[in-house]
Amino acid sequence: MSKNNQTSVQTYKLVVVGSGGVGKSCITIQFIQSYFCSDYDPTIEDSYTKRLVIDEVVAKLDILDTAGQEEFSAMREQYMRSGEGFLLVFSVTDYASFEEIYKFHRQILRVKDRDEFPMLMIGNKSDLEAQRVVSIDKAQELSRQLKIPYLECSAKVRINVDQAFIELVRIVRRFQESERPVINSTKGKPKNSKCCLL
Amino acid sequence: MEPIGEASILMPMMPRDLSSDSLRYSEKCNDDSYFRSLRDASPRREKSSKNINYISINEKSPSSSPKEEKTMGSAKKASKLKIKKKNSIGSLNPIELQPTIIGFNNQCLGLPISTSNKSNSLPPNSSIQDLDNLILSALRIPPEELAQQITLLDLAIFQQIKMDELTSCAWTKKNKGIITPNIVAFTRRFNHTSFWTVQEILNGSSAKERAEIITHFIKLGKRLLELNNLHSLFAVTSALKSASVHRLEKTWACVSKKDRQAFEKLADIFKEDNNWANLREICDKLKLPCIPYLGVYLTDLIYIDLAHPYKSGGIEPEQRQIKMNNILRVISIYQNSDYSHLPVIERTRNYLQSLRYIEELQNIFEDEQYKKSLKLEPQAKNQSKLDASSSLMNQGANSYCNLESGIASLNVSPAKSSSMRLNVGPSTKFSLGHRKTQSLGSKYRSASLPRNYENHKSQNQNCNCNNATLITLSAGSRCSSCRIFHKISNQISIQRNESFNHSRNFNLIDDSVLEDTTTTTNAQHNSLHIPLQADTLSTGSSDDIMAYDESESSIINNLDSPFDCASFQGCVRRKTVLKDSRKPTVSSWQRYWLQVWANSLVYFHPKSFKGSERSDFKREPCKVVSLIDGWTVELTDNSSQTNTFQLINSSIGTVYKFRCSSHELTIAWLKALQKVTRPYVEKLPTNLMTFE
Repeated sequence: MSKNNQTSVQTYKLVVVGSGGVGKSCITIQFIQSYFCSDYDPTIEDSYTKRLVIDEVVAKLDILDTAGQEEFSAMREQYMRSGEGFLLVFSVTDYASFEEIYKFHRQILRVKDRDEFPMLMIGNKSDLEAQRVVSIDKAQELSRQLKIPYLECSAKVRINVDQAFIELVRIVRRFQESERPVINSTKGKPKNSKCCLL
Repeated sequence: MEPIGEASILMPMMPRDLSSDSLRYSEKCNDDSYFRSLRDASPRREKSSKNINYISINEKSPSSSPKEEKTMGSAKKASKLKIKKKNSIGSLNPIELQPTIIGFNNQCLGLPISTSNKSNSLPPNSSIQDLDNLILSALRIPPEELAQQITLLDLAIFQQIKMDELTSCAWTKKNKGIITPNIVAFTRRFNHTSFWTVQEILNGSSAKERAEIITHFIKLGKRLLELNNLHSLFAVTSALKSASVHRLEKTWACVSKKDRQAFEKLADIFKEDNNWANLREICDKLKLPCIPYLGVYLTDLIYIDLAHPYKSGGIEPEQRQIKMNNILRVISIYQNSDYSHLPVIERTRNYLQSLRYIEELQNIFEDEQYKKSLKLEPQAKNQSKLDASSSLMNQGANSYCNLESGIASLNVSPAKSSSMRLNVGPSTKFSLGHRKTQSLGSKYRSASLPRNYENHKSQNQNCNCNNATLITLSAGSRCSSCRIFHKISNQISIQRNESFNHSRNFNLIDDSVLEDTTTTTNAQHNSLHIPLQADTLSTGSSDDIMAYDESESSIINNLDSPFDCASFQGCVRRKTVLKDSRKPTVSSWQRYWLQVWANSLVYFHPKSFKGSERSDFKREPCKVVSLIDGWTVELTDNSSQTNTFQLINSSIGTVYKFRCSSHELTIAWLKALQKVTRPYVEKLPTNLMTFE
């Protein structure tokens, strides 16, 4: 519906996952509200959507953050199914949350029933350098292993928050493009050349 | 409230192991403890309902008295004595175990059992657990009773949640067990219910059985909604949408459309779209009693906590207080829910609580369930859980044919000749030899070479040559079978991928068709459930081709051959514009699954009114049209119809119009069909040698 009305605006359903206390909600709220307004209401419909221009194309981001519902693990797979891109968030000060990343990653692929899906691994709380227990090397190692990019950010001091979402949108776009237009390019190209033969 | 109506509800889903079931019921009926356990006035009615149920379904011969039936079940003479004996001992366990044997015997001996009993007489292995609880499967309890007891269990915990727990926002923290014990317990119930649901479904050993259980749970969902128990309703819908259950395509195919729709409706409530708009709306309208899904409130509270943190000195900001109180008020209203009108049925309660569930081990449980799910319907998994980058070629094939190997999928192709299978053996062997080269994710190997080939994912011409050689060899080694194949279609194309950046789609002599289907899959991108990946998509088009000509026994590498889409498939609508030079009196758009196979166009009738995936169409083709003589394909001139193309045969005066879902797809179809209809010139390979 929205696609037809606003032809150019594509909605991206992005899901933020990670164990409790890693600052998912903080990242989300920092991104949605560039500043905290006092009348922020988390219960209204568009509390988690944001429009912005990414690579000169307008995008509407619909962010699902289940902060607070982490323990309702049984419903995870359901909301994962609808996500188009995932932020896998852990806290660099919490090793257990880092280990959870692997599980989330596997669960997403399982739900999506594929071997690759747009995901971005986020190490939050990078400002707390003193308490860091997950080294960048370690995170990058996992990043290579899972074949998903890694980005460190700090929701508290607002470093790399927007970048995380923007990068994820790019990943989603690349992924979606690679699925679709190839038909045009690979099928279309030869087709054009052959058209004259007809 | 229960008796007859309930029996009728039960009936359709009960028959799966009636022999055992009835035995159990009868056992319970005979067992005093059974009655004792039932409070209220229900025992009598309960009993009668069970009896009705049992009698009506179980015994087709109404001659025997209910009493006798009770003890006998559907067992036949051979086993009659045995059972009576067991029964007389009065121990439950032997009885519980007996049905399996009886069922088995009956089947083995070919004893005259009514078919419904016969086919269902084997109880699922799982049902022989939890003997202490008397109830062995959710199927044996009417949805209404389950819903009531679940609700009562939920309510008890829900009412204990303290406001302090909610304001603490500590339920995700490490010390959650101490600060928010009841929230944790309530969450646990959610996961427990969901886990139980999945477990029950996976206990069904056949797709039909599982579908029955799913249907049962969908009914349970409806009852939960009637009771306004959104908490457990969500748990149940989550379970049905979990990876382990959701992927069971064969099972879902057995669930009636009506039930599936009912389920979708239930699941829609919990769509997370627009910040759970549906759920919030429903909650606003609900009247007490109600057990809400707490999760959304928890998220809201977390966000309020975040947006309005305590100020220094522990002063609570006014905003925080106001907003939190709004939510707390709502929750406390719900906590006043009164479900006391529901009867407590200990037996069911015990059953519901009997399932061992350890929250801490949930990951392991989930893995186990998933493994079980894969075991139950492995093909379905293969079908989609492919490494798109390497095994796409087989996806098309497998998506329309739930068979284990690529070969099997040939069944569907119009050249349904057994001769084609000849290739299978050797080719499989052949590819196995090279398996090591295959890329990690590929779960498939096509009947012949492809996987090796694709792995070479060659970036350079050398690789190309290697692959070509491989193909040549394999072709040679299977020359005889090839010949047979050739009779079916004069030209066999071996499609090879020349776009080496991501090449993988190519055809071998025997399964050229199948592989090409990937191309189609690509074209349909989203319409098919098969995951496709970027690089895989590049496959079809730029492949170079080796046309295999029987008469010359040579492989011709035809780089520009139009055969690169020897096969193509997808959902289209067709309308007859002209038939035998006459305009049809009635002409409507009809949906078909269309496949291009070699030189033919193959139609498959739809199974249902909706759906555009392969699974929505019948497996057997309904017609096969050769496209060689006289057919031409062109786009419809009309600019308003960008997604239609026409297939014209001027010699017999027939014109069909086809409509696809998108312009891209139309172009793809056009291209695919042109290749078949257009005469082409074979070129000698530049980099291949003949194998003769």
